[in-house]
Amino acid sequence: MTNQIQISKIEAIRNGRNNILVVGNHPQIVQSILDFDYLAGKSKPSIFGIIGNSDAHLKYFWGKKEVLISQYHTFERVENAHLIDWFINLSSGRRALSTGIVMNRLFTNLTGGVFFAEGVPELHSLELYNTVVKNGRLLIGPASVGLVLPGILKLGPIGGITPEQIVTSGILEQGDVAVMSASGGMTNELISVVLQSGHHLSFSLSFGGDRFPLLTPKNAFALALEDPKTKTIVYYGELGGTDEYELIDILNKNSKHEARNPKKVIAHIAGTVADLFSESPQFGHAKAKAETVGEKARQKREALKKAGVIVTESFGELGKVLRELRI
Amino acid sequence: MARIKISEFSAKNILSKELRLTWLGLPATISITTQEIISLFEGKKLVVKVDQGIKKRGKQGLVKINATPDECVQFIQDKSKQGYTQFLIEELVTHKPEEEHYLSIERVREGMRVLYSEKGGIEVEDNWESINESRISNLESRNKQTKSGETTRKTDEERRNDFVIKLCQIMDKYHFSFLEINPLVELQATVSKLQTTNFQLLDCAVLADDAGSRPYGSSSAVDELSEHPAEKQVRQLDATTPASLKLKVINPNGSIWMLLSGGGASLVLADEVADLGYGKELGNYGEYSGSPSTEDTYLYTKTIIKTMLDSKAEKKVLVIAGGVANFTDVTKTFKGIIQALKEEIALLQKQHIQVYVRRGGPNQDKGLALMHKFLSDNEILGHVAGPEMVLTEIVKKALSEIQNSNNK
Repeated sequence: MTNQIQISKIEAIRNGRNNILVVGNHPQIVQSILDFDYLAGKSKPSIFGIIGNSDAHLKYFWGKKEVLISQYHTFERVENAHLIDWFINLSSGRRALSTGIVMNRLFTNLTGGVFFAEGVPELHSLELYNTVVKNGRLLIGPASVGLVLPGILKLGPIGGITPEQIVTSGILEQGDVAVMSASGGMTNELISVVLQSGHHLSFSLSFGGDRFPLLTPKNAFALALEDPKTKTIVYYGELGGTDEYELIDILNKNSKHEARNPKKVIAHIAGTVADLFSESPQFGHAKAKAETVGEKARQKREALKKAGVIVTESFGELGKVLRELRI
Repeated sequence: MARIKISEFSAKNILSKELRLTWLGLPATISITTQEIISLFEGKKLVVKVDQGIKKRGKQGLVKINATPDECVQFIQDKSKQGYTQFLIEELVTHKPEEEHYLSIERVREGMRVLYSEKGGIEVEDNWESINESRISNLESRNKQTKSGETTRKTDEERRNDFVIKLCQIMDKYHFSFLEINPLVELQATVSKLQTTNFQLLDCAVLADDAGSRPYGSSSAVDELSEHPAEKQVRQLDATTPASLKLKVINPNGSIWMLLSGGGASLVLADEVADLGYGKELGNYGEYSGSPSTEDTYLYTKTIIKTMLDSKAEKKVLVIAGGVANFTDVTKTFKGIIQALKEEIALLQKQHIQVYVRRGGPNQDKGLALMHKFLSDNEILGHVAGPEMVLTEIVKKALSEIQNSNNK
């Protein structure tokens, strides 16, 4: 069934309008998106409005000047709803389902959105997946730091929240390496490794460490494989779950086109430390626990290697592999 | 947030109520008396077992079948000496071995994955090839209602399918992610000339979604087996903050102690220790993330430092490391860490513990400078680095110190 899902292509997002509705106020993250827009040389903020606890106009900085952003008490009050392309949900995990359902219903031109919070019940994620995602929206999360297209769109804290970070992390300049990761922190770490090895990003996202990510690693991979600007894919995964085996299916299909459209895939699967224990412990992320042999880090690494992926045994090798790639 | 084990007592209590099964069980601890057992079960034959989410209890001698109330009390006292704290006493269900079946249901993306075998019981793993796998999509489990009026005309298999569907609905209602019943006893009976099946859940295990609402109460989670006091402190601290704080003590006398940030980076860093062959010397795994306050970071650090200072290892190192944070403020969290280090500085110096640091993120320059100054002023500086150093390199640096001391 997942094969039928048609979500937006990265290239379409690059050429899109990209207006954002922020659900729940988180001033630092909102300001970081405005800083990103400003530093990227945009003429106006990508944040179109905020859903908060009252109707108001909130002051934010646009460079050194102040700018007013409209805050709405309810979704229904948002003016020009048809101009909204994205949402970022910064409110609690328990409200993710209702936010997703309402956004899908009221905002007809919605491309998708990011769920930042942890603690979204598995059942809610699956319901969002079976309704909103299958309706063609590009939902990312839960527990995701977001999506970034360098110089074009920053949907979440991804790439950092201070102006210094935005400038030094390289997310203002477009390149050809796609970074995707289960872990928010590792997404940013990988962005840093990519930059230090002389490359820039085509796009980057974190699907979050939950058991049922709304953007599956497989669908995220499909985005990268179809993206004409992406030449290399860097993937970070962990023990737990079986998502990586789905990646292998899609890679095998893609390899037929490889002559025309060669993309390198580099992967690191963490969690070999779990082998020290008789029963896999629960690590930091909800999904990070191996119940079966196939869910172990080492088994996933072997399977990916067989599918032609460059798999690093130590995280330190990643930078080396990237530096050796042609710039 | 994750899947957590809930006690067999809680699970059976919910399932028997929802399935309208007559079931009598008593949750017990070391304080249970023979009299309490007698007053509930009145001369019935009993089963007593450790109820802490342990796999293969039968093979480990953690279940006693056909026990008297006195024997139940004796069993509980014996097992308490081995560190077990939660028990379940229930009525013995007499049945034939061939009536023991295996059933498990797990929530997967496409719905529910159902495993069933005619041959259940403690030898199920020897009969793995007898297991049948099937899927029930979400829609099916919600829409297909079991019609009780027609039950009697159904075959044994159809009645079992209805039972499985009903279990799926209960799992949805209570946010259960995994349910295993082994053995499941199916007693075919004729009531008023009509065939029915009487299902009995002999042993069952449930994993519940921690993020889901739990109408049956939070006390249903099982006690962690032999939880280290430091783990307990961190678990309690974690429950009071929106940030994430985790700790697992691996080897109380380990030489490598880790104060890590981020669910992913912490795993990568712990992997590096294990991959370089120092797994046995790893004191702990843990992580703080989600922008904890200075106070939370202080309390978390304090717990780890105390545990490290108690370790009897000859040479110890502390690794404070993490990736390039998106939004966790490095200065804010490092202030908490420094405060905790400062309080134990005399012992840290006395035990010659060197500290190795690698971190990036918001306000990293100020945070790293503060840390460098503090460590070097107090002569416990191993190394301090920012994102210019490869994440896992800091582990290598710390390990080389352990190695040097081993070689001496």
